Amino acid sequence: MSQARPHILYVDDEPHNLMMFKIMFRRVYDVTTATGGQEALNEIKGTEFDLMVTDFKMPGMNGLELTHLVREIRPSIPVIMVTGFMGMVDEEDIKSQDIELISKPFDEQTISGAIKEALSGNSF
Amino acid sequence: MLLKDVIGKELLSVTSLEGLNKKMLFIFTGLALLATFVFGFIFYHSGLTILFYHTLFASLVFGGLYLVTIRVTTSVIAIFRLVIGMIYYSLVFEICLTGGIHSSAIPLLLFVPLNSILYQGKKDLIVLNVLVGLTVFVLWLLDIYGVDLTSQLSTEDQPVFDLANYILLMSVVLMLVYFFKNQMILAHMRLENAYDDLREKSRMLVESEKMASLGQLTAGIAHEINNPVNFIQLGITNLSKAMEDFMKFQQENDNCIRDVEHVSHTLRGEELHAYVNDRIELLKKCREDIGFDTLKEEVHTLMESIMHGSDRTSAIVKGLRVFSRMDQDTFEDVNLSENMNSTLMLLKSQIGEGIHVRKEYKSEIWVEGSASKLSQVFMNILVNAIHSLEGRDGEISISIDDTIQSGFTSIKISDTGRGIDPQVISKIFEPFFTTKEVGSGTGLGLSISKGIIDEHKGSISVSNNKEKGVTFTIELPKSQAKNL
Repeated sequence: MSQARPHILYVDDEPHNLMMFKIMFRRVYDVTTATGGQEALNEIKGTEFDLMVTDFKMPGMNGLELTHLVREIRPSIPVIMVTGFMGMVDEEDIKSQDIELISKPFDEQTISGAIKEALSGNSF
Repeated sequence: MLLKDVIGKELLSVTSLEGLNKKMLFIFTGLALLATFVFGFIFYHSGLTILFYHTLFASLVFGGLYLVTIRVTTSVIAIFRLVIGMIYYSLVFEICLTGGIHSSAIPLLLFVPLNSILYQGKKDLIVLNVLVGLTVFVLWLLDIYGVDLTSQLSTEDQPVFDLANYILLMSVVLMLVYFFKNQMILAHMRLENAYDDLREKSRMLVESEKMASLGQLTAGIAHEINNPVNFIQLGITNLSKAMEDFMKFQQENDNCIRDVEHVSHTLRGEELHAYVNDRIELLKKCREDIGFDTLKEEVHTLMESIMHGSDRTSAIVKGLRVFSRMDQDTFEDVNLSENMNSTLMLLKSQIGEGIHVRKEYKSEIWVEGSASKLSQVFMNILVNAIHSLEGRDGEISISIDDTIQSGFTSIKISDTGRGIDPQVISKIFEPFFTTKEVGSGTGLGLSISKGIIDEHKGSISVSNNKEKGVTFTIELPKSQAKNL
């Protein structure tokens, strides 16, 4: 019996990135996309996601602020954060909050490896 | 402490020391010593040979000169040296003026080694100090053995006035002159060091300001280029996957044609028909499996995205041409509008979505100047405008007007930020002036901007808006060639 496909929420203010992500993983995962923090929060409220992948720098609410709000609703959701500049974020701080960091631009191997790991890992 | 305060203090110490040049110090020291001598003489002859006067006078002269040459100091050893020096010279003067070798020689001789230690390895001063000590010692011995040089050298007609004491006094004068000469050399060296230090610090600051604009530039470029590069990269991966699926289908197709050709020789009628139908069904299934129609649409979308990404990156790179000759000083015709657009593009990541940028200028406005330096000025003003909005919604409006008849083009950049305190608005173009927190601004951005505009023979000014925010007005000479 085939298991249900993992459901991933991908948040990025760049629509082209969202589209690429969706196409890349459409065969293996169910992907829902959101172009910003508020949209992502609305999605989270209605759906049980297995993982959230979010961009860091977004207008209005950054990826870290979004993660904090998302975890108020789904405390155990694994999060992968994508950032353009590692220098802009406090890596140690982010990792200590159980968030996986990936730098942008990323290739397929990196992101799919991180997703697999996040999905197989025990979420608290 | 703010960096500008440190620099300010350095400047203060340099200027206060500059007033005391070598010549003045020599004259001052000479006059003070002459006064000591004359007053000592008067005291001696007026019978006021009270220790108090001498001590007080010598202490004041010595202490005053010491303070003038080395300035008020907080160093413990310097204060200690000052106190010891005052007692020491009081004793020397006491002997000189009263001839009281008996009472003063022993404490003075005790001070000689202590004083020598306090000179901290300044050999010439130590030697002079020891010489004074030896003179006192010899005079003391002479006194003990009852040898009176004065009475021996005196005749009835020409009495020699306390010769021994004057020999001692002269050696002290010599020592003091030597001491102050050294102090002056030290002061001069300090002045030179402070100047070198200051020059190095200002060079470093200008460099750090350059690095700060370079940092802003690279951050802007990185942010702008990151997204398109990211989706171009993912797009190509997606395209190659789609290609694999297409190839799989193509392979199925080829197999099918070959098989049908093969069986067409052996099978006939119904059998062949059934075989072909079977193959067609297989192909249909394969087409369905790979999601052929979806794939076809996807490939179009992917291609469009990749094209869009490469257009965006090439536009960014084109915009960077402005900065490609950052250090070139030669002037050329610069299209201000293009220059402003490139600068805005690089700041896109810093201009939040709450900030509306209103542009009022035509596509071509030419001035003569350095494109990269002008861009640096615009970037400085725009970054200040963004910071003054402090993350709130607001507007930055940029207008460029070349219709005024003065031969100048006027550029106005205004924001709706917090404005500038009227008390400091006149200082805004001064070097090291900053309202930002320590470490977040060098206070050089606008002073460098003013320097650049001056270089262009233009002018830059700032005023608070009636409602809120500030307006920077820059006037630049129009391009001669382009406006003929």
